[in-house]
Amino acid sequence: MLNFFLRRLGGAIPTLFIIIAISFFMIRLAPGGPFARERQVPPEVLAALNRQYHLDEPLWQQFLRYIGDLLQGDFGPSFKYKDFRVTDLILQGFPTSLQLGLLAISLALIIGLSLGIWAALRQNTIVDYTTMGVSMLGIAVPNFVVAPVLTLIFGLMLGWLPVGGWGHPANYVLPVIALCLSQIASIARLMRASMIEVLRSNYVRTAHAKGLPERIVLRRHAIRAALLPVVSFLGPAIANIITGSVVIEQIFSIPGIGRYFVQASLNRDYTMVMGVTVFYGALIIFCNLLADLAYGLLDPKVRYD
Amino acid sequence: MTDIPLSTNTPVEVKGRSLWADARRRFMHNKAAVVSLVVLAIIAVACFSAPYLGLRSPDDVNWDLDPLASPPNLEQGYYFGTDANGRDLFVRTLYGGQVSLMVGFVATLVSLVIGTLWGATAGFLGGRIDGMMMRIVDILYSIPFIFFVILLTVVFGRQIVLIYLAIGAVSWLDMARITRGQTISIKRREFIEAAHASGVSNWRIITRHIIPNCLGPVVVYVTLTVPNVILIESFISFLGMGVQEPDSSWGTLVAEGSSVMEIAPWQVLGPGIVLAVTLLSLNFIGDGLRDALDPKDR
Amino acid sequence: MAAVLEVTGLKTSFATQEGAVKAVGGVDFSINKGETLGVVGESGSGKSQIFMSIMGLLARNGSATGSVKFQGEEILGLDVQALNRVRGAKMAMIFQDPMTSLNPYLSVRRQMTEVLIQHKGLSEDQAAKQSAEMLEKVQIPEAKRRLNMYPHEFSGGMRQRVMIAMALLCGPELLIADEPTTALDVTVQAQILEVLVGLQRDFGMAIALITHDLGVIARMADRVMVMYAGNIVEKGSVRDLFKDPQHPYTQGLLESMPRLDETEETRLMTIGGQPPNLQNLPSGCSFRDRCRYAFERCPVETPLLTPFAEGRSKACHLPSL
Repeated sequence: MLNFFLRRLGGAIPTLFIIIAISFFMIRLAPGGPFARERQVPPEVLAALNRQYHLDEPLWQQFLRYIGDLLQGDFGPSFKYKDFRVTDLILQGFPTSLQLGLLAISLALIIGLSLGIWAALRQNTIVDYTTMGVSMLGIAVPNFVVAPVLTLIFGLMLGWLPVGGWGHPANYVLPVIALCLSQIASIARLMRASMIEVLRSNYVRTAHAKGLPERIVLRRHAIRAALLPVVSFLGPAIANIITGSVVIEQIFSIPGIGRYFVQASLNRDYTMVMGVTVFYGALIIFCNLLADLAYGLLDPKVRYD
Repeated sequence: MTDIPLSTNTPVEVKGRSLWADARRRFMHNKAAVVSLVVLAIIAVACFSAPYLGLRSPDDVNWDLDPLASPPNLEQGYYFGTDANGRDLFVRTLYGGQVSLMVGFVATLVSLVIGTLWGATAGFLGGRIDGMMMRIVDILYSIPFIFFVILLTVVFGRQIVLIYLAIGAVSWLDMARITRGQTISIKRREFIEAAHASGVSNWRIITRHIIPNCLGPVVVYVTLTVPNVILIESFISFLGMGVQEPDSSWGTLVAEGSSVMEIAPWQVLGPGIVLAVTLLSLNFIGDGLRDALDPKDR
Repeated sequence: MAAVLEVTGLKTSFATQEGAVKAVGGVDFSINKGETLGVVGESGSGKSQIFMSIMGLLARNGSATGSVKFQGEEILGLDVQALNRVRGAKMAMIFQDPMTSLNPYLSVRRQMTEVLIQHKGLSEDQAAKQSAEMLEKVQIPEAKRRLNMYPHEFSGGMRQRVMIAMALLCGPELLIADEPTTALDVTVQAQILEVLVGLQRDFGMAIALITHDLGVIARMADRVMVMYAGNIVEKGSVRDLFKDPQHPYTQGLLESMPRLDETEETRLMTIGGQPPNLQNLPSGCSFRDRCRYAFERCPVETPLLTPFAEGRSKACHLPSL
């Protein structure tokens, strides 16, 4: 198990390095340098700016400097908010984004798995068709359409939930739902398909033949095995939720990292955009690692290989 | 061993229907998929023939309206209402559809070319090269690509062609995996070995056997990539980093609409519903094709 | 002799989009205490589905009617809860494919102890102890250590031994073995059969041995029933049936055994043909299209399984072959 984990960790480090490298060099590819599009900057000011941000050094030196800073948890200064470090902005928004994301992924798992199992057990009935039809809707309709529609219905027309604002638990309801709806749908479909396959498997037949009660056959034999594809989907699901949070935070004016990211992108705040990309990249890699671990716990074949 | 040879007789030969004829029959049995196909065709035709339908221009401002943003009005031919600038939202949705559908088409084509070439090469060559190529795919897989597409637009400005390419270049990974798996399984099959043994050239094997046999899963995946790509484009445009005024895509229209949702809900509903219906249709078609072509479910 | 299992008028059919498939068309048979009944037939003859019906393991679209009495008690159509008191405890089953019949995600220990915990109410420790003993009985070396391993760490033959051990944990009266050696290497097959014979001697259970391998039948069975297109076509003791087959199909099967001379075998292949479509069975005898003796009566009248000698019966209009 430790071996397995270390190997996965070994795979994660080059990935992270590539993310850092791509984002670093992409910014440096910007025609004329990061400040070239600033309004009419006098040459001497530009030179000073370049020096201040070490842009006058050779590229490889800048890259090493950036990596060195990253290792110390420093994402560099913001290009736009001169007094802020990117790290501070990220840390400021992270707790909010984390809450949002954790709530969304937990809800997606609980509801998605239940729906998937339910539909699988009632395969080819109305329950199944309805769940799957609705979940197709959930997958197809983008969260930035879902969010306004939910707001329209529950916020404006029915007046049950607050439309904006942040801090009160009621503020979480609409953003979290908008964020996790498509993941609920994906997980439900995945779990249904996998559950149907497992229910047809020979080992579930064996479990029935052993005279085990339905409850044990389902819990111990079927669901456990059917979870595996969902666990492999967990990595992408988390990535989807992180990406989705960018838009959701924007729509609901939630003070998280995503919102800073959008503002930074629109402001052409290079270091901020780069910082958030690297930060999210690292986060996604970390979550993938956790998902791998969970997979290893469930599947002995992986564990011992 | 004393197995009974009776059971090894050739199975009952059902009339020699081809894979594709068989698949078409199964697809046609899937009501959701067929309806989706029709709906998608209507939407696509409407979008691309919009300039010739004698509709208003997407930039026409109707100053007679009061207020400029007015709800849908069938008598005046404003099916989706007008936006804050008094422009016909129905027409704008159709024109926006051109952009969204084109992105879907072009970016999918890009991902198709890169993905199938990459996957088929890796699968066909096998060995260490295969291992390396797929390792690269694995690494790229865990990279949050949307952020990179945004990064790209931040760096290079908002050029639509760039967005096409960027999205295509980041969505080929699944395609590569699928093609590789398919290539490997086909390579091992008896009829390929038979072809090898009877001296058929590699090139002929690839063109006559491997490519046609990869086609099924690839077609399925292409139909599922298109909605994904449209989604990414709308996402980026929604955030204001994609298509720019006066052009529009479904993403920008939804973005504009949702910002005034409280006073003019129709502005988000029209384009939002069209976008959702399109994505839904594509997903249903992809699902239908998968059921029709995937031998596993037969 | 007391019958462990008595089956009368068992019919099994599957609902499909193209109509009902009659997998088993009404069979009567019984299995006596401690005996081995061989069930022979080609794939699709319904031989497995008979026992899937008895065990309540039919696919969702399947349904069975008739009567199945286990130790005098009707078990067909019992609700799952009541059936679960019988299956796995008094009546156990092992399957064709040992590679997929064990749950790959649970340890062998877990999969074995759960049976004892469920049926005997043992504690986990007691159950583990008995499971290890049972693994020794099926001749798995280092049983105690192996108990904690996972199925993928066992070879095919070892997994089938595990399956057998698992089936015998509660000392069943009847073991249904559905092609237990088909998926295994020839040498491993012999070992598994040996294990089965030995255990039957120790435990005294009856075995229903489903197979298409006449060699296995000859070695293991006391009595045989031959299945064709969902019906029993001939029944009798192994000795009688092998020496003097009285149904043309049985005769064909025996002639196809390699130890007979070549000319006979090739002749059979020419009569071969196809088993009939179970959705749309022909009138009369379902074997008639492949039968070298078919005559006017065969398409008109369905031959019933009728006794013709002591302990023997067949479903054929011919008085004798």
